[in-house]
Amino acid sequence: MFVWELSDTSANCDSFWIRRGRLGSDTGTLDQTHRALLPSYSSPLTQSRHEIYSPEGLRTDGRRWNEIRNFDCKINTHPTSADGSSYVEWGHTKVVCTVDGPREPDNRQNTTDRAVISVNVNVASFSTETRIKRQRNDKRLAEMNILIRQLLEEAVLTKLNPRTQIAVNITVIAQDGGLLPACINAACLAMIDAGVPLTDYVSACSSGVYSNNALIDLNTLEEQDVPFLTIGVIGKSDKISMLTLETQLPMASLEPVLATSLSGAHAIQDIMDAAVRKHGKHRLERK
Amino acid sequence: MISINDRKFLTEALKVSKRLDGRSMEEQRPMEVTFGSQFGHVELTMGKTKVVVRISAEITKPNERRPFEGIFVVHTDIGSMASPIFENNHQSEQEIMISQVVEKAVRRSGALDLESLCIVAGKKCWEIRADVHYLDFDGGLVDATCAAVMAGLYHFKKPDVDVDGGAVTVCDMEERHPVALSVLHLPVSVTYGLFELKNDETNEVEKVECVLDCTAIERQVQNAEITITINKNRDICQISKPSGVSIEGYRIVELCEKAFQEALKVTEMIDKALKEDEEMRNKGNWKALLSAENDRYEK
Amino acid sequence: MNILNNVDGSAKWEQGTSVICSVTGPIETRRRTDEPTLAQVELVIRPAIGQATTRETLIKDRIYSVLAATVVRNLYPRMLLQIVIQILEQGEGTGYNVLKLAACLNAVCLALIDSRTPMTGLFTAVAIAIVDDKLILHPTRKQVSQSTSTHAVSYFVENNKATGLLMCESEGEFTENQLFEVLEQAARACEDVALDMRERIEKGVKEGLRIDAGQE
Repeated sequence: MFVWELSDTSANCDSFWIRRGRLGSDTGTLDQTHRALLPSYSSPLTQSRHEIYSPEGLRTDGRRWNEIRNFDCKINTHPTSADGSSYVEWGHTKVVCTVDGPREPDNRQNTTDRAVISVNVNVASFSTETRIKRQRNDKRLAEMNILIRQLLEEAVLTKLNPRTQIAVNITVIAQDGGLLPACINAACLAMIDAGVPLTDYVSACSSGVYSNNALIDLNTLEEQDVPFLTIGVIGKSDKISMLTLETQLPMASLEPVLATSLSGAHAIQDIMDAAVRKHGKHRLERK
Repeated sequence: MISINDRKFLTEALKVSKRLDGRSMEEQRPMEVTFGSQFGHVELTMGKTKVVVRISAEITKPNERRPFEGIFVVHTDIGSMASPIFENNHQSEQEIMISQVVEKAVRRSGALDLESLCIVAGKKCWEIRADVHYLDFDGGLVDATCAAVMAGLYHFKKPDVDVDGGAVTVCDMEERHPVALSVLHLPVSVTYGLFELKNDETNEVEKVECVLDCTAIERQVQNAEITITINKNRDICQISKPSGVSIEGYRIVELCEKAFQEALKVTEMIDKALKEDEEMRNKGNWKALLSAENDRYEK
Repeated sequence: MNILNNVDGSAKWEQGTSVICSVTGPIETRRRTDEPTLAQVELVIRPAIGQATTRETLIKDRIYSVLAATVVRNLYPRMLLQIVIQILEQGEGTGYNVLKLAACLNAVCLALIDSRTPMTGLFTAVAIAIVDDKLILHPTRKQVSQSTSTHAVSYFVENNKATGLLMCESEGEFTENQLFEVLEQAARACEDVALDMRERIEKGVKEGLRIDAGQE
């Protein structure tokens, strides 16, 4: 609907910009970002009702700037089919992860002194708002695989299990923003369930900035409008292991955004720890 | 592949802040840009790394979801000419990461104004294609690619078009002077290598050193790398730090500041090279003839 | 010659079109070799713009046939010779191959010499276009597009004499007499190119510097 209206007024460039300008951004940078990421199927009417950050300090889903979405996790969800498994529900993003290993490697070449971790992320076509068929050589997925794998390689004590492979399979059933952090958190939990030796919890969190306000843990609507970054940390240190930023962010906002996402990642670790301990207690009591 | 001796030598040198080629820790290899005779033909050398970019334009149908925008694709395919470690038809992990970072830096940051590429909404638009050819590999591929592609985009001129109702006629390059592309900003990529320097006896990590623009041999020893793409307006277009050694948040902010200084230098270098090329092509001063300015208004 | 650092031999040839060639080898093969007694030659041609299409495969095929006759393959059985040719500037319209073919062949020869690969001899190639019944050596882009036929001819050059015809790729309409004339002229031209090549190689070897095959 949005598109058809505009084809009549294509000569009238001013109205085109004003329409987009109404969607809640007053800084030049954000306008540009928004322009790059606006999906064509969303109508301006519904979007103008969604204020990314209202003057009262509330976001589109009623959270404050420093509140993460509901992080619900369970481990050992697939006790018979995999060595370790986990299920993470972060807001509306739902991710299932299974870990197999350490087991016989597919390719013995790189494994002489350490275990090799292989990560495979499968995104279901029904996971997004509109059904998208996944392409075979999707570079974005390949990149996600590489990022998750490298982060896990930092945390896992691979030298304890040479000549083996640890296979991580992540299936995404629903996406609502924060896909990469959810996958990483799920992978960490599944690793713990499988008994793979780790130095510490691995957690990830995303955060963005809107009009000089840092916002933690973004959902899809916010991810499309606002520049955001994802960090991965190992343990509760202040050191950042993985960082990806794909949208334009003014340099002045970098520090608050990093600080926010760090605190988010630490908070996630507490929640994951509680879930693991709960499961452990349950297992001990069962016997 | 690097021998243990070489690795040790390199790390010991870094402990006293010395690098193999004599540069300082914060010094990037100087970039040299030369333009070919055709528009959009750029050759960039950075130390021993050589990259050639060809920009071309074709008229196609725009994406159904975005009928008001043109298309911009970047093809980076590293072959075995650059180095035997790269296979010709196979995309290794390193290649995927390089192509993704370049995509984010140049395409997703909106450097090229896609709406200016639209000819007839929903039916015809320009497809700008950047082919990056890697001739020689000595580290710094992402940095070289970004700079070369941006220089190419500034240099390239597409043929002028006449739109008459639904019919589009492409004017000959000789008849009508070709039109430059609308480039919104110049993102510059800067890559730092992170080295974990350990104390030999205790094997404890003393410090993590950030070294700008690593050569191939330094890349084999590095423990992690971080690529920051920033433009001269202080907008960070992209940061990519695939895992490896961790560093504190404030150090990343410091690196961004330093990257900004580098970005200014590279922007200046590209501007200068473009101006020189302009002057060379402007012999005979036909620009003054084509210009619509009148002398008498300048009083 | 010797312009790239990571490969064994490299050369650039600029004559109408601009082409750079790299040779690495003999190195370990990646796949199972079909012929256990000969070296495997992997030839990749990358166009300036776009992906490799059947046009590049045609050029590749012609170059393969020349290499089969000149490179001594039985000295390195079960090993791989990796040759990559990158076309930097086309120099002719998209329907034509002649300038590219000639430039690629000359670049490959120089690169093989630079990489010290054993060869049975020097070979050179020239491009000829027939415009209005006149033979034009090293035609320009405009002449190629106006021509009635184009020919890329490669000769084996021994002791500065063109001894054997290695390849002749002709496209267009031409008479038998025209073809014989083309082959005659090409032989002379190939000898000239070979002399030029030898000079540059000698100079390069003496000075130990890079050699550029210049614009003609």
